[in-house]
Amino acid sequence: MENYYANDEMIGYMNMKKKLANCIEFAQWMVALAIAMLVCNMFTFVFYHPAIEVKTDNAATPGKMTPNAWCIYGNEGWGIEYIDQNGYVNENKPLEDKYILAVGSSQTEGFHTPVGQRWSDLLNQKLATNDKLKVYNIGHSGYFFPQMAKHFQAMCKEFPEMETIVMEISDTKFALEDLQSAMTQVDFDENQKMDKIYANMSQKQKLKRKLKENVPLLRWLHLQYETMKNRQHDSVAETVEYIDLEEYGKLLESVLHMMRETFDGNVIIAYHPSVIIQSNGDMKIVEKETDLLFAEKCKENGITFINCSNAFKQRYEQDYAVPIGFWNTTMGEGHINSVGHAIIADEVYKEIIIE
Amino acid sequence: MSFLSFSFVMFLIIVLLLYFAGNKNLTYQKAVLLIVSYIFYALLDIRFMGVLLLISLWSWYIAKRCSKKQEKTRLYVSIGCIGLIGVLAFFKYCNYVLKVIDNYIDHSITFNILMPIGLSFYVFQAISYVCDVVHGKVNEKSLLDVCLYIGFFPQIVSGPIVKARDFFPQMNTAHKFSETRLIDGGQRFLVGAFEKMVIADRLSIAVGSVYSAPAAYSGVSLCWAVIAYSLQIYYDFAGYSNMAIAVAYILGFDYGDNFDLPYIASNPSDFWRRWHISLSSWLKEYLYIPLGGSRKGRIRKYINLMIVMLVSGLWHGSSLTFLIWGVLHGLASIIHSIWVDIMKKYNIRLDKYQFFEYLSIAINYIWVSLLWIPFRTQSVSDTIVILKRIFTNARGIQYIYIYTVIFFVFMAGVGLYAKLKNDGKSIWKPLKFKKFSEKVIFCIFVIIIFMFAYMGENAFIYAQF
Repeated sequence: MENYYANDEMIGYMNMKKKLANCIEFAQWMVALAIAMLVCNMFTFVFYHPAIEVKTDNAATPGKMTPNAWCIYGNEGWGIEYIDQNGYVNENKPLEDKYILAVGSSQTEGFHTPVGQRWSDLLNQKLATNDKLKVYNIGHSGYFFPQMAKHFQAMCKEFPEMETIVMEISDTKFALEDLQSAMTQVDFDENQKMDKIYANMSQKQKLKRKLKENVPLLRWLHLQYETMKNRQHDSVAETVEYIDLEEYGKLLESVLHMMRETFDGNVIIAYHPSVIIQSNGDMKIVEKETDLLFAEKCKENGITFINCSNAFKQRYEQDYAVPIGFWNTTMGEGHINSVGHAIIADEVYKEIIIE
Repeated sequence: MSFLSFSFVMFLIIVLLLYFAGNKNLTYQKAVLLIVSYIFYALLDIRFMGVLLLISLWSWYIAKRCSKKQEKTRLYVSIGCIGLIGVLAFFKYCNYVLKVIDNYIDHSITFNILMPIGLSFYVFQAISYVCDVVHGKVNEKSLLDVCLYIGFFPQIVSGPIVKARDFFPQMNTAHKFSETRLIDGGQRFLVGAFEKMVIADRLSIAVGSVYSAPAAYSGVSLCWAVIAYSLQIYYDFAGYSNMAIAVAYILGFDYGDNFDLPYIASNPSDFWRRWHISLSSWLKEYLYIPLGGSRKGRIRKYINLMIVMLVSGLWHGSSLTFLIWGVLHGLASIIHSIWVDIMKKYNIRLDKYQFFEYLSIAINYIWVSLLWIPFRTQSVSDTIVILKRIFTNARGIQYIYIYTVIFFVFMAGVGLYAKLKNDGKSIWKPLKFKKFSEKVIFCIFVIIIFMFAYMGENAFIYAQF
């Protein structure tokens, strides 16, 4: 009988020991995973530390970034950028009394190009006369022409001292409903200036943003997942298949007219088209059926239209320099590189000097 | 259904549950494997199920006739093999022939004949079964066994080509679930996923863009693109093979390695012992040796080498470039063979000197990489353009894809380490998770796969053959 109990106790003891060993094993795996995440997170800082955005529906751009932060994008090209106190990608320097506003999409934001090589930086180098900023970059990812036009009045109110506005576009063909929607202008709200947004932000929200900023690994993995989900989706610009040119012309006319009426300074639209590297070795400029119409409507409304097509082509013929693509992606695809930025800067500079 | 999809993971889990549920019943396990293999193939493309079934039935029938040791065995083997090769040739070369005919008539042929996925691989397995039965290496098998051998899902898309005598003994024992096999096989699968998604697919971006417009790129850029493709094709195929071998291993089947650091081979014959080992050994056993191998004099040996490489080229496809690829590899094998004979005759031993060893590795790598050009372009004119631009250092777009440099250094590092520390053999060993550090390393490895996997669409290169 005694033996029986001793045996039972032994089995119980063994079971407990086994359970304990399993628990330890599980805990070890969890700790190992945590350490691995930490190591990989540290490594992610080298190539991906994105800016955290705040939505600003009633401001010059539909979003701004955490002020006085830094970010790295290494998935296409590699660039380290600084965010100024207003939530835009500029050096923290004072603005000149009268300045040029550089507006555009992720191409203008230029996360993929090192500081000093973006077209707005190059233009600054050419135009700034003292240690102030002459060109102020408010580029924002996904900010294409119809969105820029929709925020045009807010842009003029948020930056009242601008003398010239340069809008960078990579397409001239837009969905009619987007152009139509641009006619309903967003109202500017003073509370959507970055200093006020930050002042109104709770400590909890600020802490949450700080945390998000310091765990780039999770954001990178999320980006990977999104890429996998949208394999066929074009990340640079949505393409519009068919549009009625007559209707397009009318809508564009009213949008450009509204812009002209709102702002009496110099408005420049810098257009850089897509390119294709052809099997015969040439670089083809992708022309859209709306290119000419767009240029024509700009002219009619006193807006300067710069088409970088010829400059792109000339540069390629001269030394095979491709304006789009990076050493970690492919040539001719994606965002503009430092060659493309330099060409845009030169073209805009020439126009500003002439004006 | 690709190995690298969520649906495949689900499929594999269901297969494992069903398969190991009857771990004492051999027939049950075989039936499960056969059903899931055919489901797997049907999910790839249901239209070709008939071809798979036909090949299986044909080889089962021929082997049955041959096993009776009749007078007509030779005739049956010949008919059997001609039938099998005929099906392969029909699907591989029909489009080519139609194209040629179309050029002579009024360009009215508008249809294309699709090749069943994995046909080249399972036809070779079918031949292996027929030949092994005839040579008494395996006994005649039941239809269920033959169908399973030819249609076994881990290897059906791109091999490895498993010989009948290696497969059947493993098939005739019931397999029990093994945690060790799951852990080791799982790791091997992850290594394959890393090779495919992180290395091969990432390189495919650069390779695709440069090879689509070679006339636009500078000689240096083309050189790097050639290197990139040499890495892409290796990691793509080795990655697939590792995944296939891993799945089979978890199910209880042991296949040998299909790749063994091929780019540290110091000569052509060493290369073919390391590259696509299952195909090379198949060609050696079922073609080179029956042709007489090296037993019938030097000239016959050279001819046999050339025939084997020609068949290898033609096995890959109907394009002229595959023929050129095969001929040039054959030529290299013959030159190497002559060189070895001369060295033997004069009793010169260069392999004593490490410098010559590394020099021969470099020469072999360069040669193999250059021969990948026609393999990739599948166009003689593009091949000439690329070679001309490389050797004249032509001006063009300067494009050195950073991942090519990184993975080249990685490959060279692994190769060098294996050469110095492991006698040139693969250094990969599964972790046993006895130490805490091994758990951390494993977790980092898994996260790295998710971090750096190329998430675009990319098929396995060898699935097209």
